[in-house]
Amino acid sequence: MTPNQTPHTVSSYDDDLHRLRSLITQMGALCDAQLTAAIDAIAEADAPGALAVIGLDAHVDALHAEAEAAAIGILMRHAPLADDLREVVATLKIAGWLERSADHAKNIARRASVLSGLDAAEPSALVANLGAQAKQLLREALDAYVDRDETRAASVIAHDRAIDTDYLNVFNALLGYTEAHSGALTATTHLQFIAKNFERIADEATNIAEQVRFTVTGEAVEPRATADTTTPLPLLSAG
Amino acid sequence: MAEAPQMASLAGAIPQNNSLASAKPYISVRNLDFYYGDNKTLKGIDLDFPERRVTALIGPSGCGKSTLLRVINRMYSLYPGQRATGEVMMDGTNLIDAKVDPTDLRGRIGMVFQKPTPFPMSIYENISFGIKLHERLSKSAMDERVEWSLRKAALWDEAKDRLNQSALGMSGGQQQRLCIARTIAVKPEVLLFDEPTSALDPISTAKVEELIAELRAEFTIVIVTHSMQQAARCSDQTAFLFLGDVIEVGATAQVFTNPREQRTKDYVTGRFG
Repeated sequence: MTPNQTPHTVSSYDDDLHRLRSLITQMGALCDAQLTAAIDAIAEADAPGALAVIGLDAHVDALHAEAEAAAIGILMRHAPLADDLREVVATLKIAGWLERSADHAKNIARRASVLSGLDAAEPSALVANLGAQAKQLLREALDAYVDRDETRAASVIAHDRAIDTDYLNVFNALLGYTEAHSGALTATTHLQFIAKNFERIADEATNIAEQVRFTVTGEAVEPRATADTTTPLPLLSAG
Repeated sequence: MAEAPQMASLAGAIPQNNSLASAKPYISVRNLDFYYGDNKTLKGIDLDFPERRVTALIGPSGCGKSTLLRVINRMYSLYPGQRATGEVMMDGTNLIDAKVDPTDLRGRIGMVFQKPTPFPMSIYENISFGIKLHERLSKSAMDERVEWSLRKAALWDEAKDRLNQSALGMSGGQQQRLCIARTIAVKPEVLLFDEPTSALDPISTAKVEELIAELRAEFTIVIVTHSMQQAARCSDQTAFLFLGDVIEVGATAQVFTNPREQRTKDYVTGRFG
């Protein structure tokens, strides 16, 4: 039961919804912890910290499976309607996006563990900064989910484009750094992949925010362009 | 920008009945009040029932939904102390006007009840009995009408070899479909269903729901149900009644996924006190 909501006549319905929300909150907290550790691992070249992030992924996967089972159980037992139906369907999607975010964090951590042996403090700081923005966006999307806060969800959605722009700037900065420092190719290649992972995490945060808005308002999620506008086209055409 | 295409939203995924808005009202209820003695149980009802569409009436027990059905076919006039004021307009006629003959009216507006009520007669006679009240048909024409009715009610294959056997020997689900066949046999324009499957098992319920979906092509249908899922499955339009008032009416997909009124939301989600 969300704040100010009348309880269901069947109390187990509220218990089941509460459990589903709790699983999502736990997934969100683990993703946040993974991201924090992954960003620290990049910024501080901390290989052991990076490996700890990888270990958390199995927990997120287990919670994802549990959340899916809980949502299916609610559909089966309570046949939800109206805002309950919207919430359960949205939560199924949100669980998937959190699981994907955790996978991105794991990939980032793997590459961060390689970076710890390389001299790449300056470009790493750039990418870590992008990561901090993505983490903040995911955190705000999760806060919007917990509070059923449409305004906050809208703010997350509006902010996604700014992170896309920042990602492109980081991409170009890393290219420039590679040209200027020929020995940095290994590090900057890993950092390019890491930056893309952060950009994808921001996308997942936006997806979550859109589902929060749908849950609260019932308004259809508007389809977004399917083209990847964050991939620099000149690079692609150059083949 | 996300690369993956966004999945269709829930509201978008549920088939919307785009033709609902274009369907003309077949029955228009305006400012309808109904009284059991001094007790006013319908309060200024305004509601349109679109032509060849299914309208579900939902609401807690005592909200007036079955009463509204009983007003539409004037069944209340059989009981002393019950009266209705206002308009129930169909084809330019106010159905609750005393000048309207109730027997003729019930030929135009058929009703199926909660519990199957076959007559203690043969299957054939159950169908022909009502027809004889309204029409004089030859034997062959009557045979054709009985077969037509049973086929429409998806009962012909099960009943064709036992037409002269008692209807009371049929299963509950078959009896209910026989009652539907009996109702459509007189070729009404409107069908009223008052909780038609509440006494049936899930398979019989599914058959009746399938039948309603098929009958929708020819009849204007109103169904009272306590099953939210049945209303969601069967109807194009849903009206939520509470304490004799229409609280909300809209396209079924909208009412069950994004109701406008808090009381509707509380009711369909099971939060009603």
